[in-house]
Amino acid sequence: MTTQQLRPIVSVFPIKGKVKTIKQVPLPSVFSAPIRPDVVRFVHTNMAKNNRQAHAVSTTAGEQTSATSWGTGRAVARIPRVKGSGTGRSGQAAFGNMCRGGRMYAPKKVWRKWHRKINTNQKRYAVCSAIAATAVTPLVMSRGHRVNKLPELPLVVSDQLQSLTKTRQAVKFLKFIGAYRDVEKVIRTKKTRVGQGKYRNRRHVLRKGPMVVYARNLGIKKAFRNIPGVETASVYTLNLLKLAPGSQMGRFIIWTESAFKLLEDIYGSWEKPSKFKSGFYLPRPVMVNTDVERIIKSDQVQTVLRNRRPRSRKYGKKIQRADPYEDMSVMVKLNPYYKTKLQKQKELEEKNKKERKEIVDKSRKEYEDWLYFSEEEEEEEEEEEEEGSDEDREIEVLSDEN
Amino acid sequence: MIQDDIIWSCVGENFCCFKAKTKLETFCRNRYNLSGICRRKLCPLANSQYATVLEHRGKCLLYMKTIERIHTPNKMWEKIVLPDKYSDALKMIDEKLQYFPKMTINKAKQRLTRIRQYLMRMRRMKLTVQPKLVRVNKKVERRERKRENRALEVAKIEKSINNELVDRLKSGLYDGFYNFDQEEFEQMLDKIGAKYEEEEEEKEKEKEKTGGSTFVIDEEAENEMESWGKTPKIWDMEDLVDDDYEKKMKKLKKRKKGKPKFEIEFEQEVNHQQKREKN
Repeated sequence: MTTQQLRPIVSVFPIKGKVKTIKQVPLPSVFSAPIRPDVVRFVHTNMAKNNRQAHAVSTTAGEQTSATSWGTGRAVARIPRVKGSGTGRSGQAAFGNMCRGGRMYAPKKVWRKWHRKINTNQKRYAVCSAIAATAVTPLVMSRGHRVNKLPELPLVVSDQLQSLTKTRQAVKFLKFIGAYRDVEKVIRTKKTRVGQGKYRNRRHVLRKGPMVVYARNLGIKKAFRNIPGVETASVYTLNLLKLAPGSQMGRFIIWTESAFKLLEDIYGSWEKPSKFKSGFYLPRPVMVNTDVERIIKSDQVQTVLRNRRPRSRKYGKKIQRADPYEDMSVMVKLNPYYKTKLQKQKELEEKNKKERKEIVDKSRKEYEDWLYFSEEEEEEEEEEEEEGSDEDREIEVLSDEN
Repeated sequence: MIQDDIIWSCVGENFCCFKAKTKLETFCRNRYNLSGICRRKLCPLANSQYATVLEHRGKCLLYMKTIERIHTPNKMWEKIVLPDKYSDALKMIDEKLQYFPKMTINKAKQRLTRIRQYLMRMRRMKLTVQPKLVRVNKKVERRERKRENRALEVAKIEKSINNELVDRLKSGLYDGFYNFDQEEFEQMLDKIGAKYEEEEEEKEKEKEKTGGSTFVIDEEAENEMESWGKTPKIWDMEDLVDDDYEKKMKKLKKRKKGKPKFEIEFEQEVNHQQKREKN
């Protein structure tokens, strides 16, 4: 967090009676150490490997045959085959990882590197980060601890807690202080492990509850031992795997007063080195004030900045322009020739129309002329015929009379 | 403020117990989240200055969180009861969240609106009767229906009712009560009355014919009479009126529904001889 102490004083609460501050204690510097999730993750993943037990496959597994390859020319694959006859096994493939009853690919060896070395400073850095995170309420909440009813975070309690011997007393205390909700969560969510661990002596899975950190064990260890989810630890030996289970920072910790005070000595500060870890100073943050937004908006920064340059149109906001094809005035502004162009077009159109009309009229007239002319000819022909017939009739009439 | 970015880098990008990821959206299960979405500006953990509107038993409350109270979790949220009037509530939000970021204020108001809307709806629903949806178990329904039908058959209700009524009739319970169905009663009476009249008329006719005594005509004699030809029969006006006709008409009226309708035509014999005689 910051070199500057955010909250210099922490209240100490009693273990029974009323939830009221009996004392106030200065906040140790550890709680202002930088919170680095990346460091914690790295250290945690490597630390978690350190409690592994070696395991391997038998060295002779799959190799206990005197199989030889039959070579080529037998219309079979060239894999080594079991010698002999008289049994089903004979002639079967052996030795390969693809074969049935063969050895596996790269058989596991005991001399695999099971443990990891981590730089001491890195380890200490991670622990400091994790301890600092236990004082940040949102982080403790995000881990899933039920801390809504707590009077304060970090929760420091009088040293009387260390002298508790009975579990009943311990439970009573937890209920009194408002920490029992976390324990209830653990009890509620106890389940059988998923997977093969259940028949490998790891049957049940529990959540993590509150952790009680003490300076001296005067019975406290046994008192809290049987409460599901609750862990106890000495201040001198705080384990990252317990402070940040699953590399997730923000364990809910209940400190005893003396333990709390000892933190200053154990982890030191930026000025004073640790008394227990030789040459160890608290890690310095890369950035003291991490609120970047605030920094940028602050007066000190804003006054020093130059004025904002005018935005380039090219990559700027889309400007709403009038559509030239809708608005003639805009079009004319952009292209003054447009008007004359339109006029010319119009004139041309009309001219063409006229010409076309003339042609059409002409052709129509011609057709009509032809039509009427042909009719007149027919009429003339008809008239001629009529005349002829009259004459004929006259002759006929004459004949009839006679 | 100083912690906020650190908290977001731990919580927003990595693990948070309130985070609920779906394919399209990441949601926040935290009770105090303004809109239920996991986002930097909306995360109640990553913002030390935060406010929400929550509803408790029909009352809208404004919850406010400031950095000064973050270290005391049980007193972290300041609860303010918002007034019942909508406009007043909005004004209060503006007043209380004066120095809060604008996004918080807007979201709080939106949330208040939504809460009020659903409260209104709840109240309205309580006044109406909501249909309760009940499961239909096909097997059970089928079984029960069959059993009902079977029970009905076995009971033979009509038969037992009939028996009971007959017994009652026999016992004399209904003596003196005849007009149950008024219409039927009257029709019955009419029937009986007509029959009685008919009987009387018949008797009268016979008296006229036979002078008081009735006797049966020999079949042979009848045939002889017929073979002699048509003998003029003296017709009375009364005979012209077919009594049977009236009866039959009444019967038609009494015809029950559903029964096929028969139209019976009655021919009235016109005696031409009589006519000639009259003329």
